[in-house]
Amino acid sequence: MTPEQVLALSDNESIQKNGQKLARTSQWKSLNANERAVWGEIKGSGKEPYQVRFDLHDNAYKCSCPSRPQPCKHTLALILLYVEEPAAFGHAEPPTWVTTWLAAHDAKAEKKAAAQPAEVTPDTAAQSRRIAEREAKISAGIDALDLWLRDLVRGGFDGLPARGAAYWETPTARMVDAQARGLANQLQVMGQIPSTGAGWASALLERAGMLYLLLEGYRHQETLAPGLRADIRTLVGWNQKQDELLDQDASVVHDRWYVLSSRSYEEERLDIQRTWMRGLTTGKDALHLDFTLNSAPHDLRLPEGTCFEGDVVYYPSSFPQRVLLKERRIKPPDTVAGQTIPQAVAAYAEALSQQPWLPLFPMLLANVVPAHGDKGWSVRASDGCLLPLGTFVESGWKLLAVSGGHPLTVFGVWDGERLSALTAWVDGRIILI
Amino acid sequence: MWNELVTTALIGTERRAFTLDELPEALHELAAQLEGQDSERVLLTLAGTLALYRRAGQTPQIDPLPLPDPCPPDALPYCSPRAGQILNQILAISNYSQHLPVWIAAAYNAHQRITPEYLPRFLSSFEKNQHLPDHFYDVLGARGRWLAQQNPAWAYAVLPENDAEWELANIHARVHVLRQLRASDPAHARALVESVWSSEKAETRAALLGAYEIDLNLDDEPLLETALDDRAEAVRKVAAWLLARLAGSAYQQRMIARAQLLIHVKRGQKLIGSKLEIEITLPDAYDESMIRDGIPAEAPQGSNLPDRVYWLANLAARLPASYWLSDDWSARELVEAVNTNHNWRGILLDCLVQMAEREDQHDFADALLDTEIENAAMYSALRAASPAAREAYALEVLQPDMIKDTEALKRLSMLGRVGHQWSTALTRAFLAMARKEIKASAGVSTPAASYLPQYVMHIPLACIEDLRASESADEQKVPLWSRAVKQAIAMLEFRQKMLKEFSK
Repeated sequence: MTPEQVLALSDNESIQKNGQKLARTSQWKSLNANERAVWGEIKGSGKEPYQVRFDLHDNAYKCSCPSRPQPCKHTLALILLYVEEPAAFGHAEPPTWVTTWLAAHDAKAEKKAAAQPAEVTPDTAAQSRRIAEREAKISAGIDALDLWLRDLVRGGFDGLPARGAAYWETPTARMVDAQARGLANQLQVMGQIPSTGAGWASALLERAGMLYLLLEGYRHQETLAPGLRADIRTLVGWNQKQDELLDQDASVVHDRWYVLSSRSYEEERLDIQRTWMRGLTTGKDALHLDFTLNSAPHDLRLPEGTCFEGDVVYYPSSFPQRVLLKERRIKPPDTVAGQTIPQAVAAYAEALSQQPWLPLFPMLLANVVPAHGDKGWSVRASDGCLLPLGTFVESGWKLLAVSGGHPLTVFGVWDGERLSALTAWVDGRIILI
Repeated sequence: MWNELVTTALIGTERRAFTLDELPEALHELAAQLEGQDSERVLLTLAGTLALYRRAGQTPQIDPLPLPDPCPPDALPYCSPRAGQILNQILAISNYSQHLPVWIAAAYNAHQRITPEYLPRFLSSFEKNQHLPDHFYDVLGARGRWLAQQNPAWAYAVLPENDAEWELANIHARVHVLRQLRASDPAHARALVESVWSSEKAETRAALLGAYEIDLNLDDEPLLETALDDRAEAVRKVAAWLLARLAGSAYQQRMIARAQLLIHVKRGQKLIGSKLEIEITLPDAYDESMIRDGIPAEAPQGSNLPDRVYWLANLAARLPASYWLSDDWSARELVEAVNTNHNWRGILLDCLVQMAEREDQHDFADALLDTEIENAAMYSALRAASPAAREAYALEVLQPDMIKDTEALKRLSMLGRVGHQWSTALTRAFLAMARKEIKASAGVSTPAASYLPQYVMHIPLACIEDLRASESADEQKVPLWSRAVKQAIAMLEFRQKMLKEFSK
């Protein structure tokens, strides 16, 4: 790893700052490493020094300090020191606080990796009753929403801008009651549209039509292929249990994976970390999601440009994107090649034909130049072909600054209308946009 | 077809029917299946399908307009990514903003420029500034100046590349170019200003004239004399100030000629050990030529000086150092003579301070630090004084046996205002004072702690260990002091880390 990648493990500026400050050998009581792990002890505010450890195989880490945001400053400092001054590290035998952690860590990974039918919760009568109850609730909710949507178009959209977001609260709450969180979220998004100015009616009709198709799909799910059925159930609000996933005939893909982007977003009290990866051999894209509540730490952040070899398990879908990570081994950096704009757009159309409700589609574009005009920011190819960029102005300027008007490679996610640029590659450097 | 559906959706299916005449071929089968359903269901199903159809059938837009020229290459290297991150921290966290000029100076001295990804934030942060830090344009590099051209809000950072562009450029950029040109091609610089002189606004004339302080010489005199007759006071003031510091200027001669009738410095009658004497005669009448040279005809409202005294004070303040000096006495002796002159002490000390600051007369300024003058005058004297004299000014009240806390803190604050960098000795004297303060008040009162944050930028890096020692020695006793020192150490470590990034 480079020092920049180490710092990128945390997105907390003060932790980055303090981590750099502690990255001096004089701060540490002990520093040791072997080919598997790096560990050190540092004096903290407690009586006992903090014990910090880092697994070189998969970038996992742990520190005994009470810091909530993870990685903590001690962890960053340890890795930074190891990257910058490996000679400062001794070769002592790992103490028990390192070996037990590594063992526990390995055991957990194995448990995750191995499908163990014996451990699957037995399908008790109580559980199937709960599921049946929820199915009934959702079906009733879907019938209610069907009626509400038809009422909406019968009366017309005309009065919606004047009614404001309050008009959408009743059906949204109804979907929350029906345990159809996915539908509630859809309604929330639609409720914002009437106040967005020109073109709002068209945008709202698109959403309403797609939502209506989703309801129809849910009603007829038995007739659909398993992948699409899984997509529809997820969109409505069912969660897929990770253990079930490892049991079922989920598809496992082995590859060397290149991390294209890893960002955290806050949604209400939820912190969602989205990590986009591309398989260097298969060319498959994979999205890893990690959710934490109340800004609790994420287990892991793989910095952009990291390469690892390992298996990922795709969630069932007609266009599989989301994955679980199984065991992984960090590999030396590699390169990825981007596509042209027409290639990426064609791939998106193909994906939609599989999964009509696909919300985000990853695009890695080569040789594009950021440009801005009357219609806002875009990335353009030399032949004038362009894709509009997301509306966040600052990212447009940043992209233009790093490109200097010269072509570069950009990774972003396409929502059907705009590309949110996330990462850029320039002169061998990786820059977060 | 889509517009047909949107129109119906807006008005409502109960008030408007829609036709399927324009339905794409591919959807005919779907439409047939929907026959007999209520029109809301048909509308929603077709809308969803058509939306998907449109989305999947999208082709990229084409913009035939050419892109702006890309940025030309820059010979200077970028700063390290870590130095860039440090800059980003400085720009993002207001506590760190004091480090910004240090960062810029360090990058400039290392012949490096800002990494591109931090340029937008850097350019935005100066959008509303009246003054740009030194070397601002240098650290922007070619990439930064190119980027600034792409955003009207950053026009201030675009450097003109020829005379025609210079005329139209932002005033910051014009002054920057003019200052550089005055050093490299003075004749061109003068011609440039003279070519626009009559058409510029007063504010601009004053700003352009300000650049004449670079390599000021007698070739500049004709324009400066013209500027003395300018209709704007701001321009006249700059011109008079520059002419007063221009050795051999006609302006200086005029001032000297006036003074020769009124101000005399001479050695007393005794041959040995006689003191310098200063004789003053008040001017009889106001001479109309004086107004052109910047001497006001009347004392301002609220001044209790009689007009004749006021004229004298203004005249004396514009005299060059040479008028006050002679082979027979030093600047210090003259300052001492003025300081003991009962009648004219205040007015003349003030005149000497103005002269010392205008002409960078260290000897005068150093001597003036030992007199009692008002704070504003003391700032001027400190600005022109030598570093050693500034140190002595503070150390004087920081002697171990006679520390005067309040006076010491005041003097250290004044040194800070003129940007003086402390020596190790001065830092140690300050820390000793803080220790004494803590001891004397049994840890209750530590004014030094509250001043430390504003001093920290002036403390040399070499003193980090002294601060660490002070922190650990006093930690248990006075949390307030300990906290202030910890923060100061953190600031120094930040500076150290930053400078290290540029010394690789």
